Formats: sequence, C-alpha cells, structure tokens
Amino acid sequence: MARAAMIIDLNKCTGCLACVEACLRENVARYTGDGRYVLPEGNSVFYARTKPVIATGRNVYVDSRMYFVQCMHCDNPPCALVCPTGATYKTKNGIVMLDHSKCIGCRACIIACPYGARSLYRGVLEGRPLHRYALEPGYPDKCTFCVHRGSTSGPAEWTPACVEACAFGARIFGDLDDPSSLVSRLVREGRVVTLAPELGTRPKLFFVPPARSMPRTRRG
Amino acid sequence: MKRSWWALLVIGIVWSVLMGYGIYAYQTIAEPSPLYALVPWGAMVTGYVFFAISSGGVFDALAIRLGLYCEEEAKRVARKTLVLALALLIPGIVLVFADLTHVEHSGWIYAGFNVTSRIAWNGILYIVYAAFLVAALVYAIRAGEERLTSTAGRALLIGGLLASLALEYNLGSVFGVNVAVPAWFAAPMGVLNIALAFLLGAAWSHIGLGEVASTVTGLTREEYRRCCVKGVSKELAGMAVATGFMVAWALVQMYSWGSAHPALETLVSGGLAAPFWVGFALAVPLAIILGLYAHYRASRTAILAGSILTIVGGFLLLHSIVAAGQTGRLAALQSYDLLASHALGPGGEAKALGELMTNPVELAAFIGGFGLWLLLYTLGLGVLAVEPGEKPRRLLVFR
Amino acid sequence: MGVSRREFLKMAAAAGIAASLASTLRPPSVERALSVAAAEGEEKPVEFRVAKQACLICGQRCPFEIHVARLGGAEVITRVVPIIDPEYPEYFAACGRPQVVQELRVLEERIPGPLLRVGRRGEGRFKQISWSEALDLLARWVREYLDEPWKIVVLSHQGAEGGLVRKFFEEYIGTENVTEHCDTCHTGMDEGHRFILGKFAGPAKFQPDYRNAKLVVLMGRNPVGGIVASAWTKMFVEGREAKTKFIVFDVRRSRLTDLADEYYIIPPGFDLAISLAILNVILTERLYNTEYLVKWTNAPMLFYYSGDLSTVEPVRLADNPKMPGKKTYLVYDEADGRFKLKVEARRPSLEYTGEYNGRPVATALVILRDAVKGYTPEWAEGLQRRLFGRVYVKASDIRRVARELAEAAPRAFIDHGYKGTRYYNEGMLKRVNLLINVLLGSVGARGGLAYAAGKPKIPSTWSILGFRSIAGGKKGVSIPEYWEQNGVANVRPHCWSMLVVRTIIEGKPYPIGLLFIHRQNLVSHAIGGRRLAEALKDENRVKHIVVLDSTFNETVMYADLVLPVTMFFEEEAPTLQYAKKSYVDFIVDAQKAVDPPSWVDARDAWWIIVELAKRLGIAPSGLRVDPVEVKRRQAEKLGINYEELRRRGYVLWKKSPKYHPWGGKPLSTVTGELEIINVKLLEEYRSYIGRESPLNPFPAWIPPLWIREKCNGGNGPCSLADNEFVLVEYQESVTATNMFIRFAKSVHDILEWKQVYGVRIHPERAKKLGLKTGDMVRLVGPNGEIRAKVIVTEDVDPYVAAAPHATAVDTKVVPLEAVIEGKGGVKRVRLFAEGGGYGVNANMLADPLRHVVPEEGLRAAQNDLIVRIERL
Repeated sequence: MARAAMIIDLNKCTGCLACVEACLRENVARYTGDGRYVLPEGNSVFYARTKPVIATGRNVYVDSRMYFVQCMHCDNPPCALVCPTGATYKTKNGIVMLDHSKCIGCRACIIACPYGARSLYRGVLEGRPLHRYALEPGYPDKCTFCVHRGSTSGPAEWTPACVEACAFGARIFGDLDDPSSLVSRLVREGRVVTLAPELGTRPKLFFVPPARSMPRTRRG
Repeated sequence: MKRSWWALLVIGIVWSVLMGYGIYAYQTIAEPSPLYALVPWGAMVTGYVFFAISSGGVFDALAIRLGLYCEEEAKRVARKTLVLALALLIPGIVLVFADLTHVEHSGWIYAGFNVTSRIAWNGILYIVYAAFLVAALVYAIRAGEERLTSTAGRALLIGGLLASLALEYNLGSVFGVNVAVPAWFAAPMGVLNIALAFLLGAAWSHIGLGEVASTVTGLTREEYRRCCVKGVSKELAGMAVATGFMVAWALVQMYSWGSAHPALETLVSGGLAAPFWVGFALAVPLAIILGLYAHYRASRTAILAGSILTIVGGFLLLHSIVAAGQTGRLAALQSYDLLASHALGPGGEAKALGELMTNPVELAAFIGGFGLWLLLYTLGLGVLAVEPGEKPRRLLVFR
Repeated sequence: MGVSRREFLKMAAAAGIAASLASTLRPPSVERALSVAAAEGEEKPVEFRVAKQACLICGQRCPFEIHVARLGGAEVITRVVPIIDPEYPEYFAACGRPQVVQELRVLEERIPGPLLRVGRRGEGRFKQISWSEALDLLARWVREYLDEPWKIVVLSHQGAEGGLVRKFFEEYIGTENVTEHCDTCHTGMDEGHRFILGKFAGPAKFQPDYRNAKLVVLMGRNPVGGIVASAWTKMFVEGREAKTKFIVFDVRRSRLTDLADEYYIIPPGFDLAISLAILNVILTERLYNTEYLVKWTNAPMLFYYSGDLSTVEPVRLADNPKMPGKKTYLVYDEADGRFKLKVEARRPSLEYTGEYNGRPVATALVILRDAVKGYTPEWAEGLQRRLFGRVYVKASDIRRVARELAEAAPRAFIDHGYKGTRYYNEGMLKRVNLLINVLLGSVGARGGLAYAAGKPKIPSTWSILGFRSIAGGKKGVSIPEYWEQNGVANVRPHCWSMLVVRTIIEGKPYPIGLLFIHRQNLVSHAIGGRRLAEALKDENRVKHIVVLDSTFNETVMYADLVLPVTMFFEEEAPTLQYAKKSYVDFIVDAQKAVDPPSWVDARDAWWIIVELAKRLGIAPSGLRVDPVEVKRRQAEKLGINYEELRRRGYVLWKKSPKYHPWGGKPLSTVTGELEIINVKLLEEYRSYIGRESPLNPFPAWIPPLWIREKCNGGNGPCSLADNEFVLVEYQESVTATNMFIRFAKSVHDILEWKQVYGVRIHPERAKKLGLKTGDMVRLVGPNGEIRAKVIVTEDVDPYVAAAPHATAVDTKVVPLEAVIEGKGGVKRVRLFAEGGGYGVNANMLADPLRHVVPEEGLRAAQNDLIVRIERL
C-alpha cells in the first residue's frame, strides 16, 4: 500500500509563493499557439491549487498566521462521500481525484469540503493545458499532488510542482506507508498537525507548526 | 377552449421565456467569480427543491385523502390534482439539470451511483416519484378516478406517497450531510422539508384547483368550495404550525452548536434576517391565521391570500436557510473565512449574500419556473381528459 | 489504465443517458470547453531543453533551471527549478520571483523593436525603426562626444551585462561618468560601516550566520520577503528551524514578524534610538567580549581625553612591525602597569583611565562609553513619550534585549541589513549596529556576522574579444568630482545616480551629451519626480537619451532612442557571472532558455555593444562572437572545468564564509583593526562632534528628516496633520528592483490576494479621514502626486503609509500608455496592462534636492518624507 501525503513546514515557509506560481504554471495556466501564457481572469491565486491565507490572528491548529488551503487528500474525504457519480474518488495511493468525465457540476463536493479546498472557474481559458488533469473551466478544481508526474497506484515517488519550486524545503512530499520516508518519520515523531482533526476527515496534508525559541512575548 | 385558457397559456409561454433565458444565461456564464466556489448553491438549487416539494405536497395530500382515507370528495379533483403535481415537478426537474455545470455527464448519477450521496439518491427518488405520479395520472384518466381507491389505485398513490416523502426528506438532507454546512442539519431539514412540502402543497392546491382549474375547466367555484376549501385551509394552517415548529427546532439546534452561530445570527439578526423573518411571518403565523379564517368562514379570499403568501414565504424561508448555511460557513470555518477575505476583500459577506439572494440569472430561471408550471398545468388541463368521468379519446390520456 | 467490466457497463449505460441529455442541453460554453479539452488537452508538451540560469530579477543571481517544451507549435517554459547543490544545500535557494519567467517573456509591456521618439520627451510617442538605423544613430551620438567623453553619462544595472556595459564606456570610450543605483539602495550602510572597517562596505561584505546563531535582532531588513536575500533566507529558515531566537523591529507586520519570536512595531527611523540604547547597556553593564575587543579592535587604544569629546586625540601611533602599512598604538599594559605599544603589551587594558605625560588619557572603550552615556534605555523610552506620546518599546525590554544579546554572544548579532537609504539617519544606524556586533565579539564569529567568502575576478569579455580603446586620455571634471567640490561629501564610487539627477536638474557641471541608460529605470528608481521630469524634457540639459530595456517603463517614456534588450533568460551572454551576495560565491554559467516571443525584436545588450564597438572601430568589423567560447576561455583562466560548469550551471567558488574578526586580513583602517573610534575619521570630522550628523565620529542620535520636520525639530511632540503620513515603500515577496516583474498578472494577483496592493494605513488614521479599504486617494508629496488605493490594516504603524515598491506612477510625469507608429499602423502599449498601478512610488513624490543626505554622497533618503493623503 502507498499513501501519498504532504507536509508544509511553516518554519521554512517564507511566504515567497514560489509554490503558488509553480502550481499556476503547472496546473492552471494555458498556453496558446503564439506562446502566450493565459491565467484565469479575476484573481488567479484563487484558482491555484494551493492557496496561501493570512489570518489576523494565529490559526489554532497550526499556530501561524499564514498557512495554505489546498486539498488535504483526506483518508476519509467528505467530498467523495457526497459526490453522486463517483467523479470524486480516492486513488489506490490515497490521492483524492476528480474524474472530469463523470462530474456533473452539482458542487456538492465544494459544499462538503470543510477546508475550502475546491475552487470553480467559470470563465474562459484559451489555449492548451500542460496535462490532462489541469484545471478545466466549469469543474470543481482541486490539488492532485501533481499525480500526472507519477501514477495513481504506485508509491509516491514523484515531486509535485510546488515541492519542486520550494527551495527552502518547506514542502515535503512522500509516502506515509513507507516508514523510511521523511513524511512518515515526521508524522510518526508527532511533529505535525492537521487542520480541524476533530472533523474526522483524516487529512494527509500536514503542517509543522512554527518552532519558537521560548514562550513568546510579542509586543507591538 | 375558453378564452381564459388561451390567456393563461399565453401568459405561461411568455413567462417561461424568462426561465429559458435564465437557464441559458446560467449555462453560458463566462465570467469567473470566487463566489461560485465560496457560495455555490444559489436560487436555482433552492428553486428545484421548492418545486419538487411543492409537487410532492400536492400529491401527498391527495394520496393521503384517497390512498389512506378513501375520501370520496377528493375524487372529483383527483385528475386535476395529479396534473398539478406533475406540472410542478417538471420545472423542478428542469432546474435540477439546468443548475449542473456539466449536465452532459448526468447519466453518471445512475451509471456511477454513489450510495453515500444524497444527490445520487435524489436522482433515483425523482424518477420513482415521477413514475408513481405519472402512473397514477394515467391510471386515473384511463380507469377513472373511482378506481383510485381500488387496490391498484391505492398502491399507486401510497407508493407515490412513500417516494415523495423520501424525496422531500432526502432533498432536505442534502443540505445537512456534512460538517462544512453548520446551518443545515440532516434531521430537522428533512422533516422541515416534509412539513414545508405539505404547507406548500396546500397552497398550490388552492391556486391550482381553486383559482386556475375553476377558471379554465369544468370545475366550478362552488364545487371546489364544497370539496376542498375546508380541507385545504385546514392543511395550510396545520402545516404552518408544523413548519413553524420545525423551524424553531432547527434554530434551537443551531443555537446549541457553536459552529452554527454565525449562520444563526445571519438568519435571525444579520444579513438574511429580512427574508427569513418575512418568510417565516408569511409561511407560519399569517398562514395559520388565514388558513383558520378560511376554514371557519369558507373564505376564498383568505385562502387565496394565504396560499400566495405561503408560496412566497415558503421560498424565502427555505432559501434563507440554504443561504445562511453557506454564508455561515464563511464565518464559522477559518479556511473559508480567509479565502473569502482574500478573494472578496472587505464586505465579503454582503457580496456572498448578494450572489445568493439577488443573482438575476438564477432568479430569472427560478421565477420563470412559475411560468413553466402555468404553461404545463394549463396545457394539461386543456388537452388531457381531466374532468371527472371523462374518457380519453386520443393517445391514452388526451381528449 | 485498465477498465473493469463493471466500470465498462457503467460507462456504457452512462453514455446512452448522457448522449441524449447532452445533445439537447449542452450549452455553447460547455461545447467550447469540451472541444478545447478534446482537441488540445491530449497533446503533451515535449521537453527539449533544460537551460541553467541565474536569476536577475533582483541582484542575487540565484541559480535555477528552466525547462522548455514544445506545445502546440509554441515554445513554452514548463518548469522552473531552483538548483540546489546536494553537498551544500544550505547555500542554495531561489525565491518565487524566477517562477514568473514564463509570464515575463510575454508581458504586454514588452518593447516590440527599436524605437525613435517622435513626440516630446515624456509623451511616450515613438516610431519603430530598424536595428541598423538604431545602431547607426547610437554610434553617431557617441561619436559626437568622443572629444569630451565625460559628457557621456552611463547608468547600468548590475546584471549580467551591466558590468560589460560599464566597462565598455569606461575603458573603451573613456568616460568616468559611469554609475549604478546603489546610492538609492545600500550606500547609507556603506558609509556607516566605513567608520569601523575603514572603507565603504556594503551588504555583500558580511553574511549573517543565522543558522548557527542563538539570537538575531533584525532592524530595517527583511531576509524573508526582501530582495537579494535567497541564500540568506535559506539560512534564516534553517535558523528558525534550529530555534534561533529572532527579535524584529519594523514599521509593519509581515511574514518576518510572523516568524519572529518577538517583534516590535516602531515608528519609521526610530530604530537608531533603540540601537543606541542597546549600545549603552552593553557598555555600561560591561557586557562586551573583553578578549575579542583587546585582540581585534582598537578598544584599548589610549586617547587624550579630559571628558570633552571634541578634544579627543590618539596618544601615540607608530608603524606596526607585524602589519606593514598599518599603525599600532599606545595602550596601558595591565601585566606590568606600564604604557606600551599594543604589539608589545601582554594584557592591554580595556578600561584604563589615568594620566600620560601629565595629560588625562582613557581607552577608546571608556570614551565610547562616555559618548553614549546619555542614550540609556530610559532615554529611548522618554524620547518615545516626548515624540509620539506613547511607548512602543519599553526601557526594560531594550535592556533585556541587550542582555540577551550579550548572553548569547558571540552567537548573537544585530543583522547588518541590506538597504540603507530609507532615512537620513540610516548610516548612523548601520554604524551603531556594527559597533554593537563588534562589542559582542560576533563580527567574524561562527553564529555571528561572518564575512563573505570573497569573489572571483572574471576575466574581461572585451579583452578576450580583442577590443581596442579609443579613449583619448582627455579628462574633464567628472560629476562626482564636481559635486564633491560643491557641498557633497563622501561620494561612493559607482554609486551616485542621485548626483546624475542633480546634474540633470541643475545643469551642472555641464549639460549631459548622451545619457546612456541600461536597465536602470532612472525616472522611477532615483528620487526625481516632477523636477527631474521637467529637466529631462529639456534637450539643453540632456542632448540625447538612449535607453536599453525589455519593457516599457517610466524611463523609456523619456528616451530619444529605445533599444529593446532580451530578458536575461533569453540571452546567452558572453560572460560568466557570480552570485555575489551569498554566503559563498558560486560562478554561474547562465544559458539561453528561450527566444523572445515572435512579436518582440529584442537583442542582447552585449550584442548591441559589440555592434556599437564595430561602428566606432573598437572592435574589428568582422568580429563574430561565440558567447559559449568566451565563457570557456574565462573558465580556463579561472582554472574551472568549463564542461562541468556548463553541465551543472554553477561551480562553488568558495565553500564556506570567512569566520575571522577581520575577514582574514587586516582591515582598511589606520590600525588594520576594527576601530570602535575611527582614528582617521575622528580627525577629519572633529567639527561634527556633538552634532546630530552622520559624520559625527561618535555614535549619536540623529532624528530622521520627518521627525525634524514634524516633531518640533526632533524635540517633540510630533504633530502630523490628520492626512499626513510617513511614506514607507518595501519589497514584497514578488516585487523587485528589476521592475518588469510588477507587470506580470500573477504578481498583481498575489499582491492583491495578500491585500497589499495599494497604500496601507492604520485604522485609527483611516477613521479620521473617513477612508476604508478600496477607496481611491491621491498621495501628494513635495514633488509629485500619485493615485493609490487605500488598504486599512492594523499591520502598520499609525504614522506610516506603506506600500510595495514602484507600483504606481505620477501620471503628470509618466504617461500610462506608449504609442508606436510602425509599418502596420499605430500600436498602443499600456503600462500595468494586466491591472494594478495604484500602489505608490516614493521616488516620484520625494524631492531630489531635499530627501537626500549630502554628507553621504547625496544618497537617497527615500522613505524620509511626509505625504498627504487626499480622498479622490
């Protein structure tokens, strides 16, 4: 068995958003015959499959103002539970995917996701995508862990675009079921948290909360 | 045909154009908005629930009167009631499909049936209910309304009743199946939907029979008054009580679960307070008062007013609860709150409410649904053999 | 992927139902989406090139890979991958900026071909001409001034060919008037460091060793979101992970303050007061590193000192036998209680006070302590009360920070920072901070402020190509020479773009003949505003303006001749480069990844220079340049295996920063040591002692200009009108000095998403003005006006209006649209075509004659100005 998972280390995330840019290029943008780079109309960050968010206070789960909203590839995905056609499904290696050919566009998955991980682009997007799992207008889009770079059944050995772009090592991707992988080690060591674990969705996107040198005395 | 029939038909056609426009405009949206993901279920979603439970409510009352109690009085209006239920169901089904952004894949609801999905079950229940409804109508026309109290007739009516109740419950539960939507609760919403179905069914029965049919068919006002006014007005008042109770129950549940507080606040004192309380006032206390007044005074004016206000109020009530669940999660779930704040900037909740309550395209499709109902119902009354004892001459059911 | 029987049956059933529904209900938009997916979605990009590059969006040159594929007949950039050395990953990083390259390539603002001005300067009307016409014209204009080459003034970016361009004009044409823009960036620091290191020393001198530190204090530097930071950022995040404690003082909340253990929001320019108080605590509580000070600094040096700082003078200097060219000095040897030269003393006293030759003497350390004795934490707290009517940082906190620094020393330091030209007092701030680090013994220490590894000397491309100089040896007065004779002191070589601005405005010492600007957005990047714009319009002050750039921008609008140059990833420049502001230098072989898009007829800047050289007889007319061959020869001379360099894209030049108090060899000071009182500058600037001046040889509080102006000459209280703010510009994670990046849609979207695109003000100020987020306002500065969008947030200090750099223009100075007449008709190009343009640009609002520091080479003080916010 393999279970693909990702960890975002919030100590190492500088907010440079290389991950967002890389995701847009890989999964969202289209390319026209004359070489133009076409992003969704409106704010394209909303359609990136990893969306940075900055709270006014610290998030209670990750102890940070900034974190990311993206598909958590839950072991127990509520979006797949409510999907009437099975268009949203879990692959053998635990990635929650959308089969565009089955999706009717009822948006129940968007409603069901407690994390806001799904977006829906209803604008025009001219040009060619880079791969067949890229954003399609009119479908509830989500992160695929860049599975087009690997496979839906094998071990999680590829590198998603956001992980590749992060030179600071803030993003780690790997196989939870492989005891030698870094993700599995960090999870085992209890160094990670998830968003809203009480919901029972069992997310496979983890965060390493910021390490503080001592109890903080913030002022200002 | 009476001139009034032609007049209603033309009004129905013209009014339906609004629905056509709304659906076309919705399906061809080419402008992106983060609201499509932040608050994805608009007036068309509530709209299809509204029409489906209206149809179910009309059918349920008839099925109970004939299928369970074999009330002779009900037989005189059985065919027209069944046509009314069918004419209400069709706009609902049209809106169901029109609301999908990829309707071309809708066959997968059956081919890829997901047993845990309420929406998938809706796909089944719509068909089962529609099948019983159509069969009962054909049976009533072919075999005569008298036969509706036969074993076969009762089987059709009770089967349809069960399917309809299941559909109403299930439609409500779609909104309550998960933690992301703290305003919507499976149990109260399902039962609330059934109460609302009966309430709306009573209102529609009066509009359909007491106003439309008594104008364009052989059903006289007096006949209608004799057979139905008391029953309909009693049902209206009674179901308004039940609806009020269920709404109160839903509010109490929202109050007792912290995550639902934003939705509760939005509903009772926030941005949705106006439609919610207006809807509540129309569909609960006013419906009770007018229903009781109509019942004891056999007042047609009172029951007409009560029916119209109930239909308006029922929709407002339903839609404000549907909307509150969505805006409520923007406040209750931090990821949504932050996404909304990043994507919409300040005043995000107002934008979300605006999208849910006043999106002109969705409102056009929904309001146009009343035109399609009028068109289909008028057409049905005109071309089907709907008079008591009438034998169909053409194509099984036509005059 | 196999299909099971069950799935097949499902699909077959679905197909039947779906087909019937689809044929009737499918709307046109769905048809289009499906047809796009069907026709194009299945086509896979075919990768055919991986080019190694060095990012030039800021000056850092971080190495990264560009993957290029063919898709639908077009070349597209499919992947942008930071290069990370497996053995030394800690030194390698690239931020989010290079991820934007595929978008930069096709910016709508790109200059389509060589352009000749047809309208008035600043009007933005051009006609497209051929490259041969353009180059002939350029050669003609250069020839006009070959007899007076100093009238050719060159500004060039520090990018790949920036050095080539500067060298060409300096060595082969013979003008001395060649500069970069550092006086709008780090010159304040360079000047401040000179007091301790003996010569100008910028940000590249030191590497903050965050990873090995225990405690770091950050002021005026954001290693997380700033520019020229990636390698530092990497060490920062590793420090964060290693639980290094970070304490931040800033005017705004940011990702940096999020990551910090402790942060203080303070009013702009006030950090100097905090630093002085920290220095005071370290000195008065004797928290310094005695051994370090004795060994590596002139702290034990004896001065005649009677309690009056203005009469301080060294007791005795003598040639240092151990350090040729350097002086040693008299100390008091505690070992035997005698006065000796330091080289002879066993235990030089740090705190001696007494008499020598009948005159009172004291050590440098004692005098320094006396000099800052008034700057107690209580003074800093009182000053806050007096100026601002409230306390931002309590005295007890300042004292605690100072003690924590001392406790963690030498693995503790105040970051030396990067930019030093925001406020008038920034030279002093950088000086005081370095002084604190010296006292802590953390300069050159592991976990302290290490010295950069050193840079390679890459052989000159032009000499490899056999260029011959036509400089006749005639010398005129150069611009810096002239201004140094006319009230400006300490001009940092090659860092005087503000002097160019002044020369243009005042027409002194002479009208500029040819202003050659290569990727230096002078109009936007230097303080200029309307004064500069008016002057630039006058052909009697500047005869010809030639601008080389890739996109339209503020300066291009003023050009007489515009030569479009390729983006850095579209060229194969004939020179190796080095990533100079990292912990270790690595040499980079930047390789061409893609061509410019078909509608852009841009050329590499080096090619333009070569063509110019041919026309001027500097290069043989038949010269053909093979850039790869030139780089191979440079590599050979450096002793590097070029094949390996080409394959990997980089080689490490050094593998560790220098951990040594002097960086490995004696410093440029008189004593060769870290001087806590600079012997030479003490004498030179004696007249400044006791004055609030950056030239005061002793640490002193200097109020920033805005405090002088608005706080009763610096004595307080500050009284800003309700609509007056101190304008603070900063670099966001996706903005940069190479400002074409600001035109990218994704950059605009990210800034909007983060809710920083516009001018951010505090709610209590916004309330007074009745402003809310999204309102459009006019920002009125002393020298221009800008339209901006208001963002109300508690993330900024109430005195401040903060915005990302150069995200708006004064439309009275710069038209938002260029009009190009060409063979195919008229083409219009809009700046900020993808949105935006409603942030700010302090350079367009400040006054080039006021918001500058004449004592520090007229370097800019860009954020030290008050602007008015008026509702539109």
